[in-house]
Amino acid sequence: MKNKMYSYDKNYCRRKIYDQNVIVHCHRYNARMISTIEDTTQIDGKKIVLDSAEYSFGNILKTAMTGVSSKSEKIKIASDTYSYLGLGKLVLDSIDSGNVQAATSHIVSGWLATFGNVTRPVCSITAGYIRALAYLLNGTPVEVTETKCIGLGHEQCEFLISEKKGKPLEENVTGFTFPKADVTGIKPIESNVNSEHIHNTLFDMEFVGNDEGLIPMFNSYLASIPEDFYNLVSIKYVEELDKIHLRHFAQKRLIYAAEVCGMNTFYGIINSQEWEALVKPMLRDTKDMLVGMAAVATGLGWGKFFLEKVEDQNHMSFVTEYSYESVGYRKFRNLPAKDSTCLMFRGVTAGIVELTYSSGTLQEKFGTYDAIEPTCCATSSDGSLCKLVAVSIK
Amino acid sequence: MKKKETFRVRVVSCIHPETYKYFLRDDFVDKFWKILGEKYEKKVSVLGLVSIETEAFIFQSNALLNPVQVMRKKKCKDKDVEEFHKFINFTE
Repeated sequence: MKNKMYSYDKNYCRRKIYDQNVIVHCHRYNARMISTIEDTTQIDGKKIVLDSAEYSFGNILKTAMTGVSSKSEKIKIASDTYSYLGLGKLVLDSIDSGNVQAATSHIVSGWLATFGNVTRPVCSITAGYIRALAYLLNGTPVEVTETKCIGLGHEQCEFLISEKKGKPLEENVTGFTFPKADVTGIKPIESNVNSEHIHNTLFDMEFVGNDEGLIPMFNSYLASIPEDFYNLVSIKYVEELDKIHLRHFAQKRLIYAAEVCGMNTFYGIINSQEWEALVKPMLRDTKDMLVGMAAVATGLGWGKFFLEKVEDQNHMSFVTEYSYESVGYRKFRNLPAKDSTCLMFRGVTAGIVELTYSSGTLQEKFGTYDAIEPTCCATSSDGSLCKLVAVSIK
Repeated sequence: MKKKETFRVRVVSCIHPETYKYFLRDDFVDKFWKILGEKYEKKVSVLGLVSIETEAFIFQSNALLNPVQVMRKKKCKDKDVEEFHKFINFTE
């Protein structure tokens, strides 16, 4: 099952589960990003998260169930896949009577680690997953409501499935593909770090949920979530707020979520045994840290990401090739983007530069750099490169 | 010569705030992994990291097998920590 599920594409630096691109992020980022979207009161953020989860996980499950006719086998595949992805443990014994439970939750772990407490059910990703599964089993769209949540102190998360009127969820997929980048004159900074070795090692590793359906790695709980999910939530969040003239507010919030987690998560990563084994032996100077972190990000399936230039410690540039955010934008939207789409990359760029070059505690380091994206390939149809520039604002 | 006692150092971890590296007594390291390995599966990752996962903990180390990073899982209770500390002869 493992070999059938996981593959990777070194050209695009993508990890794939059942042939769908997945992005590996940590539980804190996932929780913070979902909270950012759902807790924006001006829009129906929960709907964005639910619908995007239903669509994207639906594609994974559809592929996973190809050629499988037995309902019980489909249910087992769904349960195993959920755990494999690192999302937790689903109990699907009573799905036919409209009840599903989750014994553990990647998102709740992230929520508690990030915010300290949970004040409402937070497992919209799981609800979306169950929606997708129920549709694949029965052929009719359903609504799924989380009625109990581990984060609220319940023994397990519980979900209620109910009838839903309307058509199955669909998204317009444009079929756009980026032309191959002209990389003349663009190359990674020279460093002591063998980035390709880091990429190869990580791509060769399957990230698999343990007996709790969680993936403890790099001092974090990781999960593989469809690239389409991240892109749809980000695109729709910005679009919905743009309708009420809050476009920049939306972009800033998503960048902030990524910057906070970029700093905190990578702080955990660089203190992990995995980093010690894979990257630390190669480090000789400060910029090597950034090169190493960018290489790890690449190995997590984000797209090729590398440090291009360090002018001085106040100004440095990174490049991404086939970044998942720019590729995703053009996948779902016909026209070029109005402005920069790589909001996660902007946040993480600022976060890792702050971690490396700023001084003091994490709180003191935070906010001391800004990352702009002077070139985003989603804003044109040429090439596949995006440029990110980190500048000191202290 | 007095044997160096077991001590621990806190580790930054998003998995659990009470994550530590335990530096076991040299003469206990092999025994530690042997006893756990008899009951639970010992895995070695592509990175050369050795790990054993129990109901309450994830134990992980590099090829030197010491120190051991100990991550507490969701099911981990105070009594599990007490039992673990007793097993490795650790007192705060």
